[in-house]
Amino acid sequence: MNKIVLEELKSNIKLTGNEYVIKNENNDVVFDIENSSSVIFNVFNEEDTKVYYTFNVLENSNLTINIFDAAREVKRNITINVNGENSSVILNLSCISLKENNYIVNVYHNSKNTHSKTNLHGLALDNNSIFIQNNGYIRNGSTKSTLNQDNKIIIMNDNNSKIEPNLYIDEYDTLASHGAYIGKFDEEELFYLNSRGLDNKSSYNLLINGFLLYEFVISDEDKVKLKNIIEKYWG
Amino acid sequence: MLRIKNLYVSIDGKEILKDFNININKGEVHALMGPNGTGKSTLSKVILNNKKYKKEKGNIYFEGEDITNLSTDKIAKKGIFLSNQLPCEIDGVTTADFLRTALNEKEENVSLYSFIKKINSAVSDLNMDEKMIHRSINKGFSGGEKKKNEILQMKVLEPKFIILDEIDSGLDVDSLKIVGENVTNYLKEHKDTSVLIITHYPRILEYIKPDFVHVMTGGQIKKTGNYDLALEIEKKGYDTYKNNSASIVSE
Repeated sequence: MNKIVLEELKSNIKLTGNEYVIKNENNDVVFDIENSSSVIFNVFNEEDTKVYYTFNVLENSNLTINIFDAAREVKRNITINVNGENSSVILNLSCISLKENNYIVNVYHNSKNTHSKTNLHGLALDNNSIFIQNNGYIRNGSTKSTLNQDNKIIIMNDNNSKIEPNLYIDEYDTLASHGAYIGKFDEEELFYLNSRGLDNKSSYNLLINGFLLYEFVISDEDKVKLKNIIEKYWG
Repeated sequence: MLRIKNLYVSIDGKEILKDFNININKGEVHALMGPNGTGKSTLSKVILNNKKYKKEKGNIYFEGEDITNLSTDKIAKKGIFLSNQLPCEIDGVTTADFLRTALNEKEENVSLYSFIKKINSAVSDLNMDEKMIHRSINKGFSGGEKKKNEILQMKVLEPKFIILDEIDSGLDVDSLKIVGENVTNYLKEHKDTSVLIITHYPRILEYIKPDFVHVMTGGQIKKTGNYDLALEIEKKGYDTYKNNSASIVSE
């Protein structure tokens, strides 16, 4: 299996390997993940961005996407077509909204024994907002498939953030679940950390870093890079 | 070491602690026993100034200093440790990361080597799986594992005053023995440390011998005695004390 790490800085795509990419003037980017591939796609972004991704995943492949945004205006539309049998997709998308971030995610299970997990976590500072629409589809005939959504937005003040978690299941022999939460960090969690001698700043640092980065499958070096970005806006 | 004087506490307008008084000296072990809903766990959180509870009247002193309105982190930094009855789960924050941060805030510039040595030794003493300290705090832990994780934190942070809130609940016989022995060994190595054990049952007191046993009902201590009082409660229950309106009765 090929293991390829792709990184996008701003809107420039750097690719290695045999992936096929089309990018047009509408910022549409298409990735075809070949049979028996293992692909990790990382985007760490601090620019205002509007981009539409489509990932087509063929048989026996694993795709892991780690996207981190810390920007004023972000619009991402991500479509993942799990077309081949025995394929898995993990999407970890975390953001710090500095004004208005919008995400629409569509995951289509189009084949048997396909698996997806989407962890969409946003932190809305001040009065900034986040909108997440997470749509999961399991087509008829996609037996033994699993779909799991975890959607959370932590707000530091009152704002108009919104989550729309949708499951469209057209097959009985499947497992699908979703969770959605918008709110502040739990007071009991904060008390627990305080009760060990951590002041509020250190406690929030731990909670925010954990909330935004825990699921990310990235190198320690990249984690440090992202922690530094978080510190810039929060710390 | 810890003195609570005429403390009244309420939550959502309901009075929980009513004229609560206790004095715990350096190196003493006190057990606070009582039925459900009598305010024992409330007391433990109030000592750490949990904002959910409103202190109507009274004061809490630690080593002579009034800590009644001090922030939770500052109280903890003074050396008070609460082992929670129901330790909360925190997604994404590992025990190792948070303990290292806590230790660094308490004792500046603790080297990674010293920290690893200390935490590994505690993990081994408690017969825990070392992978657990690299998982989210208490996430997916059994009741017993959560309690061991509390004692692990106690051993790493080395407090002067320990509150064990129902440390025995959720523990099987073997785990209870391990936890009991770890607390006892800690007290042997830290002779000035005081302990307040909150419990329903005398089982844990077989491992951690108390100097004083208090019976609490209706938000205040109704009787104080020695270990025999715990055994008496085991036989007779709390009914005798529930209707006793007298305040502290010492033996």
